[in-house]
Amino acid sequence: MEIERTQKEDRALIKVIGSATIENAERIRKGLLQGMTDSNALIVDLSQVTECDVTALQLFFSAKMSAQLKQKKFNVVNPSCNAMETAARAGLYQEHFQVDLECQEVE
Amino acid sequence: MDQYAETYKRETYEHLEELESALLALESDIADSELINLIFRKFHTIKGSGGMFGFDDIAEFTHDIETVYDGVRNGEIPVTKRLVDLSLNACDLIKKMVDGEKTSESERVKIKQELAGILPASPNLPANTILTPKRKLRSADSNTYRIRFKPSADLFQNGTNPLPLLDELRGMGECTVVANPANVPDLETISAESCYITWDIILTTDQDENAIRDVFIFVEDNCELSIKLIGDKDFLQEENIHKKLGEILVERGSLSIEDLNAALASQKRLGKVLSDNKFVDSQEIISALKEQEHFTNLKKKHQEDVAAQSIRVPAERLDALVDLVGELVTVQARLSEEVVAYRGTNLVYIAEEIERLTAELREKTMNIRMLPIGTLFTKFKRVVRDLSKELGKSVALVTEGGETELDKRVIEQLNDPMVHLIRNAIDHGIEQPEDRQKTGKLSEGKIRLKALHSGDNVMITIEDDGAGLNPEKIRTKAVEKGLLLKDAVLSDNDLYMYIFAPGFSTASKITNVSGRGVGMDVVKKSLDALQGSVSVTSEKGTGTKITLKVPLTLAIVDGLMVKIGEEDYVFPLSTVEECVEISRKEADKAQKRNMMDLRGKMVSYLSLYDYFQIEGHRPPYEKIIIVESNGKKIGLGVDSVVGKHQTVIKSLGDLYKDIDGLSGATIKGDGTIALVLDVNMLSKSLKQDSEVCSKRN
Repeated sequence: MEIERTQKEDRALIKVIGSATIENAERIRKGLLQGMTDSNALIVDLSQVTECDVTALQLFFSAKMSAQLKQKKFNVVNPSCNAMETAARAGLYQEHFQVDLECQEVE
Repeated sequence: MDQYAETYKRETYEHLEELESALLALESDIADSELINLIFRKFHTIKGSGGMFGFDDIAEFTHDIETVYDGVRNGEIPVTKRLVDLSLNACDLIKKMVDGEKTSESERVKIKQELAGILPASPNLPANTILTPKRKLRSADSNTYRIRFKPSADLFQNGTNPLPLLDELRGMGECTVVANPANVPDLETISAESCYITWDIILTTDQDENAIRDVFIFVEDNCELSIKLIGDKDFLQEENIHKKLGEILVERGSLSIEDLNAALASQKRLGKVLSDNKFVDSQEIISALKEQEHFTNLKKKHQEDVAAQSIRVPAERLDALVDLVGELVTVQARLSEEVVAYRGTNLVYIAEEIERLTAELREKTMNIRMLPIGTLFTKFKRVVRDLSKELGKSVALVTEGGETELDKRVIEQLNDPMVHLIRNAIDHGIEQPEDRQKTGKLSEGKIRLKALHSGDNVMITIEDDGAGLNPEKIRTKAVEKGLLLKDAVLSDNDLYMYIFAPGFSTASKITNVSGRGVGMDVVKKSLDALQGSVSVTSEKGTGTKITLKVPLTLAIVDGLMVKIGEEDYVFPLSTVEECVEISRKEADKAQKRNMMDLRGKMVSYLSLYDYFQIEGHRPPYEKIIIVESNGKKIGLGVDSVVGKHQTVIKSLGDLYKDIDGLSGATIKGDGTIALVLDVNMLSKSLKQDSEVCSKRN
């Protein structure tokens, strides 16, 4: 699994590539945390996620909570089929996250 | 072949109606896999039957849309607003093709090309539909359970994946799974491999509690599990199974009844208020709303199941049956009269039994022709969507009482007036979003359609939260048009009724939607033809409410038979408020003034002797039938009251059909005719008379 990080002014884009599962959970947490520390807005791109489990979804929700506490912006964009399917199976809906299904900006 | 073509057309119209409603619903819930399946099936059926019955052009055109929805079903194509727009346009085009209207090749090609643009170029394209595993159909004896599953923190570390457990529950019936991440800590403190999420699951299944427990058998020691029965097998039969959000939260113990009442008193959206006031965690609200949705879907499915048990009968056959029952009612009345004269005791019993059976048959037959008004309400969703888009406004349509039943004929005749009222509300009532925001309103306007039974009538209200009517403007226009005297004293509600006058419009500009003052008089005329009435209330800046009162049916009604001179007349009983008696002297006085005293209140009076120019001796005491027309009471003077009469309404012949004050005729038990009175026309003539008088004065 790789975490690609791009900084655009005060916004950080984190792209998770590969397997977002329990084996990589701690690395994802650190990546999200760093993105959050260095910027005022964090965008998490899930278009390249090939595998996903509940630990990862839990971390994205945790990031959303942290962003709210720190009054920063947070958005999950372009979730892949796998990420969407895991969220649906786990009973996590769009109401739980701020999900942009067709975000053009990150392309 | 023609017969088959007709059947195909009729069925395709129905499919298109259902498609339109499903597409509009999909727009607001893009993840609803059942809606996606329904849409696919409908397009598939239109295509398949089209090819079979020789509608090759329709079959070919629909094939491409079917392909797109196959991709949507498989999660390869996302549901987007553009897809819904295109699908609706495709439906319109199919309808044109079914109607036999000419459609240009370019129209078809354009939609096809745009659809082709939606098809995935490669299988790797990201999809954004949520796929839900297939669920078992619920049987009639299902129970509904609320399951709360709180795994221990080390669930993931033990190698347990909760997703297969949730999938297993889905396989047991109708299932709504909602994760509750309220306990998830922030990024700094979270242990990435621990489990913090809990789950609320609403499951409607024909399996028992033990079967549900078995699903959790391997994690039972590592979790808190509660399973509670919240709806038994009979609850779908209950009238109202849509639990409100507050009820669910109180029932769950998440909210006290006091806090609920305090929140309700503040009149904001309950979920927002509860969340803002921190009475309930927002995650709990999401979960409760999903539970509410579960019950709504369940009820919808149940209704569909019931509908699936029905059979299709051509409307003409039903009309013929109603006509025959009408004849039977007439003959039965005649039999009852003859038997009384005959005085044979046994025959009386038989006649009474026939009378009872005829009444029952009449009621059952009329019920067959009853349809829920929701079938009409659904059509308006498209009207609102398209028109608000055209006018750059944002308008939501809310419907209530869609299950209220009315005679099919009445529903058909209500379509045009209601379309006019809704178009008018969007064009003139609801303000532009920026103007709404300036006045502190939500930028999205709201139109509420509501139907409810009221005795033998149905009250339908069309209410908007727009700018409201301007009584001063209406008064000025009415005076300008010579409809009202400059110094006439009228209440605001009476003034509003002038909007129904022919050619009356206060709109400063004519749009292609409204403003020519044509639509509203059509509304009034249609309501008059239905023996119904219309009333308006409005508040400047707050909105307008138009209430239509229509009879349940037009074919056979309960009537009140009266005598005027030698002739019998019938009032539709639904219009009658009460009967009173006044002396000849009082009646003569009332006749001169067109007004009479009803327990200290003045009401308009019309002698039907005068109206129908009937010669003869007037009775020493006149019976006054107090009726209600367009929200006003009117006293109509007659000789005597004969009694209740089952009135089979027959239309008047061409020579007589334009006589004001009569809406039809009925055959009495002795075979002679009684005329059915048109209360709205009588009230209108009274109004015109009084206006002429006041102008003369």
